[in-house]
Amino acid sequence: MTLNIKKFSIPPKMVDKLKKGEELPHVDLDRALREADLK
Amino acid sequence: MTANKIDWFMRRHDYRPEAIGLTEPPQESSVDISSGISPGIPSDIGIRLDRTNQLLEELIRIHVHDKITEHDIDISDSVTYTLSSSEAALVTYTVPPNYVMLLREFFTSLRDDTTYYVYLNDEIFQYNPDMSFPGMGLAISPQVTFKMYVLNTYGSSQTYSTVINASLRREVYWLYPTYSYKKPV
Repeated sequence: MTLNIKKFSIPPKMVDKLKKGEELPHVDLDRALREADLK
Repeated sequence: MTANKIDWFMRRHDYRPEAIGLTEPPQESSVDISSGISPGIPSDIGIRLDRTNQLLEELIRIHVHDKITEHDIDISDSVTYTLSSSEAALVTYTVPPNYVMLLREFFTSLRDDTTYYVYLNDEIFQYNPDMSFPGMGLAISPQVTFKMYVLNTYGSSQTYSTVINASLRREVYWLYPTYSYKKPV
């Protein structure tokens, strides 16, 4: 019954999108997390 | 068995000890009524016949009574972590099986309280310390997982804390011992 945490890197272009105020689809984050797991 | 089913069961089959005329305190019984139960008769009722089909006794077993108690557990947990530039964290919390969660707080704070982005389930929020997330104060079903993404969009490392405060509630159903009632013939 505790919080779990998992860190992963996000592609720079995602960061750029956020800084421009664009919404980042939730699925893109899930994909980035999966790809980080594969590395 | 849910509370509704138990209520229905008790209305449909009023086998409360007082309803069937049992004045003495019920005694635990190990009487096996598995034999002699006719199809269509609830498994709570059995009859025993002698070799000439004379009714020897009618047995009623009471398996379940109604409710029950509620157990509340307050939980409070936090995790602190540092994210480098362009790094993200996925913070999750899964409601334990058999519990309903009443969510009070689930938030992430940054040391300097600067606005940043988090994702909670399927929605994105530009977070500030005063905001509330949808779902606050609502009952959350067992085994639902909350996901909060925290993205560090700063050019340097930042330290974050994610906090959850909630109550977990579990409904406990007391199963009475199995009783038997021998109806006089």
